[in-house]
Amino acid sequence: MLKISRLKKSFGARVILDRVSLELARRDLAVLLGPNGVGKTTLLNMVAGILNPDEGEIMIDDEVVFRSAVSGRIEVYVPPAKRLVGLVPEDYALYPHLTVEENIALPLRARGWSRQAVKDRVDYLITLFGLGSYRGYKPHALSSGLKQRVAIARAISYEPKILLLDEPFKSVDPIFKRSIRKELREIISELGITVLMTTHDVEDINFYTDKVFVIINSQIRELSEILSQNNGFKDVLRLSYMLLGPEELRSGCVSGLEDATPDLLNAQSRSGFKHILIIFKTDDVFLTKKRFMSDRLLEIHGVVKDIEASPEGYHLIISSCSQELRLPVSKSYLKLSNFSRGDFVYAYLPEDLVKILFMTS
Amino acid sequence: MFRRREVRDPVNALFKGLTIIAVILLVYVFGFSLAWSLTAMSSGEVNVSELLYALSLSIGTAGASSSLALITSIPISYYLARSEFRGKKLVQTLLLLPLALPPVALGILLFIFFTKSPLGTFINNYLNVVFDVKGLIVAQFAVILPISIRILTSVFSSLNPNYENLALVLGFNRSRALLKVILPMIKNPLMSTYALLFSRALGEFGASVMLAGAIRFRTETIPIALYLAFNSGDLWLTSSIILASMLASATLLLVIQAWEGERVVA
Repeated sequence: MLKISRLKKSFGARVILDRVSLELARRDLAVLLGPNGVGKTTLLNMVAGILNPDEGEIMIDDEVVFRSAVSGRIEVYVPPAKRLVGLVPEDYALYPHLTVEENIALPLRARGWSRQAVKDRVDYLITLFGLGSYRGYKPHALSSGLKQRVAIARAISYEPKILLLDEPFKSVDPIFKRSIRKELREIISELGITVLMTTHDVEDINFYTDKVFVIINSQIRELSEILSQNNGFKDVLRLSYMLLGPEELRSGCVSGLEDATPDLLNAQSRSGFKHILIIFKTDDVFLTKKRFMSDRLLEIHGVVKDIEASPEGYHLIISSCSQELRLPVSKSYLKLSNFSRGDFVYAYLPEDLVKILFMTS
Repeated sequence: MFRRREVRDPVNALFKGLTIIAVILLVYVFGFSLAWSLTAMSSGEVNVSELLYALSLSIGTAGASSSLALITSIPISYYLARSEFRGKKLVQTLLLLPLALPPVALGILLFIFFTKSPLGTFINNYLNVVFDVKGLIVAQFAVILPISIRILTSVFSSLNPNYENLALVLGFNRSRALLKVILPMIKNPLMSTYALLFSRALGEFGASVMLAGAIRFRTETIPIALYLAFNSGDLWLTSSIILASMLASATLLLVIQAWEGERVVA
């Protein structure tokens, strides 16, 4: 469906993506994970045709839409309008002067659909996305969840071959994130469309598990491949992560790393990594209010921000090192340990069950 | 109930005082001149045709020159806002240079161009610009074009490029995206720019006089008519032109403010 081969992009001297490859099959729902500024949006824009790679090849549905020689000479370039790609930018980019209905109809008008065909298609999409009572609204009057629905409806109105979603949950209120994630998954499976979405939030990969790619060191790798190299993370379900900068490492919000990787902080200046990504399964975490001293445990400490009850069980929301972790806890253990909001807690992870990745960007 | 008391602040008091003085001075100058004009009008000779000629010529030439300036500046400003090239600063300075020049100087430069340069004389022979109504339009155009470029460049720069990029993905090509999506989106800033250009063109005197001359019933716009009438002591015409132009500019200002109030959410 989508095949990216040896794609390279740099801005000035900074190499963003270094000969990356990625392949999606029809109806795949793929997630591209990585911290801000590693080139996720750049990749989507290159697939859509807004941005040109320095070299490499992009194929959509067995058709080469971009190819460039190593010399940088562009051999094939299909303009964005002809690529049949649906794009939902991070800010949705709904046209403020057009109503919901007009926004959805815009690409159809651009593509010269007949008046009746446009009307039928818009009616169908408005019903499908439950936008019936917002037809005549201008975008500024809509909530971010509704804006997202309009943007997706507009992006798929002309039946693109692939849908690109850039950080679909970034501007969504955290309270509604879970329901909107679920809603989006339902819409996608109903449409039966190939999707590539980006996110910086590891929580998202618990909801969209088909295929997860990670951008590390200007390379794209499949997460399951990275994890299976280490140990038992075969499924990405219930996975969590922490992304720490060197300052946060020094301030000691995570301890135990000193033993896992000797001279870590000294090495930082030499190897030039900017972040470390700690990936672990939330089931492996042991939560306690008492501090342990152990060589074989990785310790993360933080403050309980909230206790969440859901059909899946209870979760503690812990804020640690300017990040939020959502860790499961059983009802009986919650009662026994008497966790409450504002408590200082320690999360312990056996070192051999943790994957630490060094990221240079 | 407590009333919020104003904090005593000497700077604030000074600013307030200056504002009040400015308003009083303005009202006094306008009011006195207006009252004087009105009394003068009642004793003067009636010359409606010249007033109407000047009024319609002004509206016509200002409409033409501001339309031309707006249409010309859209592609130039779009290019300046969206492209990076070597010597961009220089090009921008060059395009805005007429803003800093006195209009009279600009008019003289244009006059020399149309009467002395090979290209200018060629154009003038065919189109008859100098000492003609077309000269008025050219002079006004030259004065307001840099203003238009200046405003529209900042309008285009403040626009999120995602809007244009997405239009390409949705199925437009670059020129159609600009025409069908971006320009309708910035309709309000465009209209308020047009109104501003129009009002500036309406009052244009220096460049117009130099290029088109001050010829009665020919190149006699409102400011030129005012100049001629005042110099020949025709109080009725002077006063009635002032009244007419005050009404016109008040209407224009109201329109501009109404449009500017509705900004594009970008």
